[in-house]
Amino acid sequence: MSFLAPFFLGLVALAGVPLLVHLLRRRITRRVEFPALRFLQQTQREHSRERTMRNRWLLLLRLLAVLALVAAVARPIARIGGAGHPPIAVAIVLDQSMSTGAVVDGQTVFSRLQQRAGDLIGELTPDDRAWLVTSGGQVVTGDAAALSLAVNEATVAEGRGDLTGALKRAFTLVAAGAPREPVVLLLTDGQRTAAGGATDSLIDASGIPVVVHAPDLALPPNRTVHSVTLSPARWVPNGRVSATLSAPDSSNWRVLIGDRTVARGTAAAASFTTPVTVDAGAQATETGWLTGRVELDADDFPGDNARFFAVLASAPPAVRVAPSAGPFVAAAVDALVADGRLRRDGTSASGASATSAVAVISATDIYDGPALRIAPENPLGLVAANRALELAGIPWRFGAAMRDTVQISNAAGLNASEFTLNGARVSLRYRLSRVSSPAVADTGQVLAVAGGAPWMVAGTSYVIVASPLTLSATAAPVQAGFVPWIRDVLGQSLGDGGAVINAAPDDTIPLPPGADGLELPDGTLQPVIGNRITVPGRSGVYLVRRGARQIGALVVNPEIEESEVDAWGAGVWQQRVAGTTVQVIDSPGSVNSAVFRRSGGRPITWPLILVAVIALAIEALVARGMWSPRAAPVRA
Amino acid sequence: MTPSRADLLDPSALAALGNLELVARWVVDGFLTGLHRSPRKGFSVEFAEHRPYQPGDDLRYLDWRIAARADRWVVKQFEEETNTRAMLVLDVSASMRWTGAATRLTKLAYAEQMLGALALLLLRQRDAVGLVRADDSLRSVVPPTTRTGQWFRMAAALASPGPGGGSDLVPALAQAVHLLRRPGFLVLVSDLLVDPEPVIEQLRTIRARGHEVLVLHVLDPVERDFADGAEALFTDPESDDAMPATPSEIRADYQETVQRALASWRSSVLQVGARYALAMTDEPYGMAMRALVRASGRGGMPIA
Repeated sequence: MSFLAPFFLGLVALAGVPLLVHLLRRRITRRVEFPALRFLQQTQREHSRERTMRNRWLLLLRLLAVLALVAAVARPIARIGGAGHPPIAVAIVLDQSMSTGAVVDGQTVFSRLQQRAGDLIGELTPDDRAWLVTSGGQVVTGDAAALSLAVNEATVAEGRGDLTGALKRAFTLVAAGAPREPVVLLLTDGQRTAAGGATDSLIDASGIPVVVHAPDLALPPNRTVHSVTLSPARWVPNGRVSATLSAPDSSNWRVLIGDRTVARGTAAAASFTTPVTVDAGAQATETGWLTGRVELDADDFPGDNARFFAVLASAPPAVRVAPSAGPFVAAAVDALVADGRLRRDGTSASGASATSAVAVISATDIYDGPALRIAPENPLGLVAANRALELAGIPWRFGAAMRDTVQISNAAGLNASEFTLNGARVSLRYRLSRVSSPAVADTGQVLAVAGGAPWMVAGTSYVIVASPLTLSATAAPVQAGFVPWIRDVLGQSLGDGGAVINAAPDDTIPLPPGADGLELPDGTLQPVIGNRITVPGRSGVYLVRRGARQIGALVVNPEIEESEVDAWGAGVWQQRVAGTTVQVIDSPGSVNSAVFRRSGGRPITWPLILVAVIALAIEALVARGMWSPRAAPVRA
Repeated sequence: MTPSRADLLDPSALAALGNLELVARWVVDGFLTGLHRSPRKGFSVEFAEHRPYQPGDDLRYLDWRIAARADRWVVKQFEEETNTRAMLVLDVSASMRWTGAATRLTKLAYAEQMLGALALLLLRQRDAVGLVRADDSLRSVVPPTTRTGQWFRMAAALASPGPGGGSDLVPALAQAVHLLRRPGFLVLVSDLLVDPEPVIEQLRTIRARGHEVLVLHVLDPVERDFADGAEALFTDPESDDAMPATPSEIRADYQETVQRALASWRSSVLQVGARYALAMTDEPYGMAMRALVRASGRGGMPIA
């Protein structure tokens, strides 16, 4: 036997009340004069055994009643009798991936899954515990009304989601519902890719049974935009859009930039595994970020009929290089200019006037615009360097020179692949320290460290390097990653960006350094805290902001695997889940019975209350002398 | 039955109207009226006095001369010979001073009123009446006589307070028999909360000497029925005995025990040739007196 509310078992102390009353009866304080005491004594002598027996019965019956009531309040479960279905702890894992939006016989697969969830919730009792876990990461618990509301409000996502993660979370939740019998109901469309790949580790169910329901449906033919490729990376102002498509029949396609159709055509029929490629030229009518999509004619699988893209229509960022920056930097910039990644600004960068061009200067140079500031080779220049930093309103200062040899590495929390100078040796560096200044809101960010001290720091309009970029100070200039590092620093960290990040809904990705917001498709700004974000669940283009500048574009499209209709089948979960039995139910009418049959004992609250009532009724009869537990009294 | 008959009124209500002497007179008058007899002193060959005629008087004793001469209706009364001696034995132990309800007479008060009436009734018949009051010892003794003033001596003795100790009826009965000297009547009024054997043995001895014995067993209704109530420690006023009990639990068994005890007293008393009557303190005196007159057993009370 187990209890749903075991803390109420503390009330078992109430069983002491009848005992206490029994003992207190011996301490009578009321005295009554009664001359016929001899008759009382004679009665007592003649009926003492009978009365003792009756009192013991009364005590036992009262104890039984109290114990039965206490046990009933603790809501016991036992494998004997009971009414209704046994209490369960059930987690309903609802697949809301893009593929569940497929329409079959006028109804989406997802609405069918919602109905199954609603049917199960409708049969839950207050003794049950239930959770709704969606593949989008939402977890809802509460009574049947709250769960029904959550199910009804759930919508089809525009990505695959994380059904495996939802399932793992469900196992953890139902395990906390003990002593109720745990069970997990997975409602899915049967898209196999949601279960993970063959090389992924198995999901450990720890013995918790799983019921999988996937509607047995004939899926509609699907038209899919597999991918979109743009060339060149920047349009000045012309470019080309290339897309791969698959469809069971020939279908029309369109390329839209904004709401303007810039190209259209008809693609031949192609299977999902061998899509056809279509190609069209386009011209930007304005500079800045262009957002668009490639569309196919609508079908009953609407989630993948379009795929978004973004491209920057502008000239490369203008760069000025001061002679004091050193020869290696100048050579790297030359290479990038030659490749079209950067554009050389015509004016000198060593002047004091502010400009929108990105400058590469020695830290001793005084410059107001965005600049890569490189530490001076001579320590005597530190005073001038710190003064230049102060004049530019930068809250960092150079300190003592350190001549030990250490390696450069990206700062904690930053993506190592984004920093191409990892591992480069440094033999001369200056200690960079942040100064507090109430006039400066931008406190900057450490991007790389050397020997535990900041080596590269960045703010909204500056990047500071703690070492001179010469071979006597560091081996970084001769690293393979030096030119890409210069490109990233000048193009993304300081320039006008141009980085395009492709991601699926609900992925977790790093953002470019200094990014502080996302501009949503409707134009509203969503602040970003930290370097990593969870990708929005809706497909579309989200512009990455650093202050007022758009420094990149986050393009969100569903995973192409979601469109592979041939890969459907719920049986895959029987191989993916270990440590339990997975029952696959096709028929909607068998889902509830399969879930409730999983549980063990039944609640015996009412039988216990009945026992207490019967005990109290017998107690009343015995107390009133209407029934004697013994046949006949013994006469003295 | 008329409402004005005192022998049929509630004893406690009657006691509130006057002292023992008055109450005794009212009871006797009412009792004799109920017997359809005139409450006369008696009728014998020797004239005693006249008294006003009352309805129910035998017309043979109407004094026609006075009626013709003075137009007054009087009857003649005659002196009777004293042919009976009676001793009244009253138990004045502590248990007799108890009542189960504040509005009810104690057993002792009830017994005193009733014995007063009985004494007056006998004295009016010119019977010699005496009184012995006793608890665990003799408290007062009034020898039997018919002399004038005997009624007042009896009334004074009955009204005097008694110490109220334990119960020992045997010496009191022996003293009463001693005072009777020749065969007469002995009336014992007690709650009989004593061991039966010595009392019955003494009654047997008294009967063997030729005396008629009447036992009036006085009980409070609560002693018979055991009133309901919360659990309490019940104590005996005559001893240190005490016993806890819950009336609701024990009541039925108690009533059964009391009924068996009363039946035992009744059979034992009858077995020795005495008469037995039970009087509850909430019953009118007339019922107890009639019980004495009609009590089963040999030899009725010599009520005219």
